[in-house]
Amino acid sequence: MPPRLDDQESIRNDEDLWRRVIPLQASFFLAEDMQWQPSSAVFLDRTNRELSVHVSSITTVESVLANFPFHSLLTLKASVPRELGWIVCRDPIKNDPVLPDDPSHALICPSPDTGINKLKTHAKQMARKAKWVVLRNPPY
Amino acid sequence: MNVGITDVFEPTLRIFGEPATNTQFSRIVPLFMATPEFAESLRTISTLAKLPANWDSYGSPAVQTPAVQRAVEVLAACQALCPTAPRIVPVAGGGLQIEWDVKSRELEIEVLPNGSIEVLMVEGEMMIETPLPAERVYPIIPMLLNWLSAENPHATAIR
Repeated sequence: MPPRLDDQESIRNDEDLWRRVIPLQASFFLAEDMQWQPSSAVFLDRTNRELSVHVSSITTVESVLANFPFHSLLTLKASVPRELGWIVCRDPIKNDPVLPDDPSHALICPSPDTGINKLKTHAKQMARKAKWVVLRNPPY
Repeated sequence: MNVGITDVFEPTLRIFGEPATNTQFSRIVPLFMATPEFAESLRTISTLAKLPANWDSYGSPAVQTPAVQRAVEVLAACQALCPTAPRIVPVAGGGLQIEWDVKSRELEIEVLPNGSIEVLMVEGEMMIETPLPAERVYPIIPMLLNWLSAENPHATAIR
């Protein structure tokens, strides 16, 4: 697979990137500012270290959550992963055997220089800067 | 009675009625010694172990058996010292993460799909991330929990 290239042309730094959060994974806890904070696990993927997101300017909340009535939705500015050295690029889904077509699909990918011992730190930093677009049923 | 690994801590079973043989869990901690928090954590892991592939809606594989086994070891190593019951969440790719927070400190122990462990200690803006060799789970986990609960702000866990 060729290396992913940062796409600052079509995904600007102020673009909101959305990521669905399964209720089991949200691990809501009250941070010091008394806001519900997501687990850093939301921003970890050990399959190939790439995180799926949706480019908000070309989709809608209803579309992203259409088949997920219990999921919440987080938003993260594209500048946040880029400041950590990660790459943000478009990855529209079409004719995938598992996932439905989604032209808004994009990826956040660690740079090849990101050591394995930085992934959790970066995930934590992203989780801290993420904001809820939709927060469903915090458990406490 | 035919009981699978992920059915061992089915919530409807009473603790003392839970099967104690032919399971990976019973080799680690005698069930009659399990704290309520530990038993509850095992039930959570049991639930997460049953998640199907694509549980995260982004194509993740199911939680992998080596991750489940190692997570139980981690919980067994800390059950007497847990300041609070941990939060346990699945990680895309097939792993599990065990989390605590006490005041301004946070501790995350992530078990990767292959059973290896990564630890993240957080205090304010300071973050320390390190791998934890499997053979050091029993000596190190209590130290990490002591750090999490210590009053001394300069307490360190990893020497």
